[in-house]
Amino acid sequence: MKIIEINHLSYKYNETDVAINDVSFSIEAGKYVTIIGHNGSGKSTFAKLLMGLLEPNENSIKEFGIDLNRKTIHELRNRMGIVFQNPDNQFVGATVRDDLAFGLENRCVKRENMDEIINEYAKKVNMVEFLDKEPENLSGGQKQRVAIAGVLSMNPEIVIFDEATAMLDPKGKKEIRETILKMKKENPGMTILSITHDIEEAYQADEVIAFNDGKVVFQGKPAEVLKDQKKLQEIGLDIPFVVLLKNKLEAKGVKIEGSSLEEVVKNL
Amino acid sequence: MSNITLGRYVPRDTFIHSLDPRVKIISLILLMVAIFISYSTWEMTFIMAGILGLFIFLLALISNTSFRLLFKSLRAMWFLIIFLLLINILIKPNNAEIIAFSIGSLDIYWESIFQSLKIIIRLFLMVSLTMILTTSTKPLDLTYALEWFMKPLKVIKFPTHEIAMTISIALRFIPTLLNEVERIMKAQTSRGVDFKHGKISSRFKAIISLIIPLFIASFQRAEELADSMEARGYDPKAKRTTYHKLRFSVNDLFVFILCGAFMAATIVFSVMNFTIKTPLFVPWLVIGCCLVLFYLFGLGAANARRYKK
Repeated sequence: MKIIEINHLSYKYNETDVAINDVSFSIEAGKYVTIIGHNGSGKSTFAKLLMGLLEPNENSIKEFGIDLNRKTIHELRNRMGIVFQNPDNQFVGATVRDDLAFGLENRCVKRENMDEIINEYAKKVNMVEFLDKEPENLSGGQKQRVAIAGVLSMNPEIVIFDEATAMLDPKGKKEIRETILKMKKENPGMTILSITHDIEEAYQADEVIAFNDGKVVFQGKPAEVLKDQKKLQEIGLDIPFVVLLKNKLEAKGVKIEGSSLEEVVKNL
Repeated sequence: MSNITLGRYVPRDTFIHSLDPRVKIISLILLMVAIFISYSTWEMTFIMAGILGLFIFLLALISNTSFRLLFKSLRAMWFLIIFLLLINILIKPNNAEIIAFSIGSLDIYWESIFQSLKIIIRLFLMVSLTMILTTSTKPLDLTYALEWFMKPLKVIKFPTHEIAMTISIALRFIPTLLNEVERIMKAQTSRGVDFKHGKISSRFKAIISLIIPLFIASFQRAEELADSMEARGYDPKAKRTTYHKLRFSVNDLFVFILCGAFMAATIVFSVMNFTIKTPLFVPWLVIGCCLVLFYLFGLGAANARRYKK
């Protein structure tokens, strides 16, 4: 089933600043898709369009088979969640507990059920012992985990990560990547859309979509897309060292198995 | 920046921490009124100030507020205190009679010394009370209490919920913005801006280089926060449930009655022109104080099991 259908989507901030330029593609339900592209390639704008935070052109976005417009926006938003880049700017509550409660309050969950839900989702992201901590006492990775718990507690069918790891240190990045994988394992039906310029994350995905200058450059399996070194460099993306090494060795006739980064490292 | 930590919430598990924030705010107002009541004679003024001081001292003791912090707040007011002293000493009170001492040709009256002492004591008591409130109550709880007090205004379509949400977000972002200030200051210092030395005009210019980036960053934050809140389904006009519930317990009722009685007593003393020489005043005062102490001990004993620590 196609859960997101994009049909001739365009968006411009003003006359000269065209962010998305006539894009069409679709995403299957239950897939883990990463969208890669350099800064300003339109990928974050795309995420905001999907959430209805920016207004798309008419009939260009269909989610769950429903056209996204002013009438359907609240209904569709209730079935999706997004984690943004800046850990601080999406932390609404005074403590972790209050922040998780914020989303539940918006969904009119009864007060008696809130504590149970808060504990359940805090446990899922390993934040139970931090429930009464204020955001200034948490690391960026921990704050992002709270944001993920906040999104998950609303049972979304699509979760979008808008460069959720970009502002984190390597340890935080790893934490979030692992949390996403765990989340995918626990909810196989959930569609995950991760916008990133962290190519290592792209290797975890089922599918990679590459954006450049507001257009989709290619879409396919990570191993295929990421093998095309020249093209990646053309659109301004860095290739991980391991992949460079693998490609060089293969050029010399040494065959290395493996599609994910870890497998490659292991086989090397 | 350390000034901001003055009066900051200190998480503890005490009787005062457990009280309903609404009751705490009302009690604060009642006690403030009691502090500002004036009496016909100086003895009365100081006796009542002493009693109130003792009561506030007890409150501070119970709520585990650090006395060091309380006196620090007094130190922060030193300029005001000296100013008050000077004004009071230089301007002769109209009913002043007894000269305390003279410096050269300047006569200093007891009246003026008492007057300034009274103001200083009042200020100190007031600041102490407020500090006890803010160190024993989460800012967020205060916001909820304010929202509750504003409820009647909903009739005239006053946006009480929006205001409470705005205040709570402002409170939430204070530490974040302070971090940002520090970061920008470091960044600007490394580019040669001097915030600490130089003439006032050049320091003012330096501050501009701090404020403008701070403003831009704050607007960006606000925009991102708005996006994130909207994405999480926030709609101020829609119906929402609330996670926090303010609970009014028996303890709150007792505290409310106690503070109300305090205020009532001070008003009676003031209006009836009580002095020490009024027949039976001193015995009644002693009995009243004993009652209050008993009351407090009773409350303490009743709650001892819960707050053993």
